[in-house]
Amino acid sequence: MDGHRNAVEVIELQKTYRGLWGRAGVEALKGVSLTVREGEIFGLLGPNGAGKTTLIKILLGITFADHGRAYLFGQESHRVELRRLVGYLPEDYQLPEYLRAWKALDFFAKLYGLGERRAHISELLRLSGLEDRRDSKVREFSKGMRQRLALAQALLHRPKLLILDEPTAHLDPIGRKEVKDLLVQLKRDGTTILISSHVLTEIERICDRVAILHRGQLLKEGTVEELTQEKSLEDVFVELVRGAQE
Amino acid sequence: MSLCAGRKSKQIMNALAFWAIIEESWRESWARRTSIALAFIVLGLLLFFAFGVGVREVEGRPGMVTISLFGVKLRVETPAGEQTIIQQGFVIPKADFVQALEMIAVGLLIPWGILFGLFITTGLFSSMLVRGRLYLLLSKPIARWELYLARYAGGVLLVFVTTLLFCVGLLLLLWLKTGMADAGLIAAGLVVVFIFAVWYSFATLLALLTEGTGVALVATLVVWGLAGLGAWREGLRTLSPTLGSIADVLYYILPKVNDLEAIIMHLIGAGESSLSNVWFPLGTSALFAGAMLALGVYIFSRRDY
Repeated sequence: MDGHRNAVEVIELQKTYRGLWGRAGVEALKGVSLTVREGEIFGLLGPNGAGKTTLIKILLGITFADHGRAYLFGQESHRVELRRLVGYLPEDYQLPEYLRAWKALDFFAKLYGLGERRAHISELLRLSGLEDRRDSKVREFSKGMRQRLALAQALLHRPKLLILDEPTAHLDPIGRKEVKDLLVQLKRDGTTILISSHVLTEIERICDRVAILHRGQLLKEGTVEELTQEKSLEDVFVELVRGAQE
Repeated sequence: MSLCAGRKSKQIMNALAFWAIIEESWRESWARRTSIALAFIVLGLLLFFAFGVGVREVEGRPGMVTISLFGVKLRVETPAGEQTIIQQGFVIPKADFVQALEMIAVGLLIPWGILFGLFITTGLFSSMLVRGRLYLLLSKPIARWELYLARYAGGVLLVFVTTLLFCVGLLLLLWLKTGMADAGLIAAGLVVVFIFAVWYSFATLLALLTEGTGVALVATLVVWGLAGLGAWREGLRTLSPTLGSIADVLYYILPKVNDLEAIIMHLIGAGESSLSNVWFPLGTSALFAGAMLALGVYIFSRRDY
């Protein structure tokens, strides 16, 4: 496992969401190929409907590709066992509102098959700034607190690959800064991070490499340095997307 | 976390995840208060019987009892219709009273217990399919078929425990009040749970297809009604051969609800003294449930979310 250089590899990935009775619907991915190397922070950029979330869902076996292949650490991504290596924070998530914070994390820890959970959960609650709310029910949490708890559930099993879909949504500036620092710390510890975000400045600051998607096509992939030699990432992004629309 | 864990430790991890889904179904049902309502109904019925119903042996007439409701002596219709009026009040044989009470219990369980159980558990199953929640579950190392079956098992276990509590509680109270206890009630309760499990397999499939509770429940009730037509096959055939054939098809495809109810009545000693074929309705109904679960798992495993 550890010999592979790529944490994620997708090859000619295609996905069309069918309409009623199998009629052709939306083409979410049109032959996207990209790689995420182990140990890097990779940014997935694109306007709404670009196919970012579909790509992530295919990697996690939540959605199935029509054509092409997707690999995690060199193995077909649909393998259930691979999810022991992956932590996922979806853009739209619903935590069990009726559970207390620590119990919610305990539930997710059990899904990962973790035996010794108590100390690790306490540590994660402390890291998430939710230590003093451990016994509060999730329904009593603000959006920002839920976001931190959702991020904590993705980190429970110390994943080798962390996939984050809009991780700083619902967070205030301090919360964003904390998440950003946490991601940098995780990278230092060897975690690979695939992050999808609309906040380009955030991506520019923390990502090693980025890919820009638009309407299911990969417009550009490269290091942040390569893409921002002459212009800011925001300008590059807007230019590429507008160019693709014309 | 590594992928290189041994086969045994993987099995333990999978079992832990499977149990976590079942456990969470229970927590959710308590949070929704529906299970609390169910527990209150069961407890209420047992308390009513414990403190509301009085049973007193008649002096000089062994095996005969008088029944009172909150101190007021009652006239009780027994299955055999036997009743003797004496100076002490209305008197019935103790065994008839026990059987009558068991019939009332079974009458509550079918259909009301099963209906309420379906109402609670189908809602629980549908709630798992809410997108944001499903994303968190599907991204965990638990196979979709395990997720589906664990959620199904959570519902069945909930109804199993409630039914068992009700039957065991009633049995104990009967024994305390009359000195008689019929273990057939427990067996009847298990068949009730079996009937529930069969219809729940169908309701979960419909909940999966419609991603809602309402349509799934209504359609399950409609099909339950159609399955009941099996009892009138001969009568329908005399009306029209086509109707008879349709009833035949429904009888052989759908769960054998009437036959299963006959088994329950037999178990509490109220039905026919002997049943010609117990295993056919049990086996074919179990096959129906198995087919519904297999279809549900197949669809769930291939669906995009």
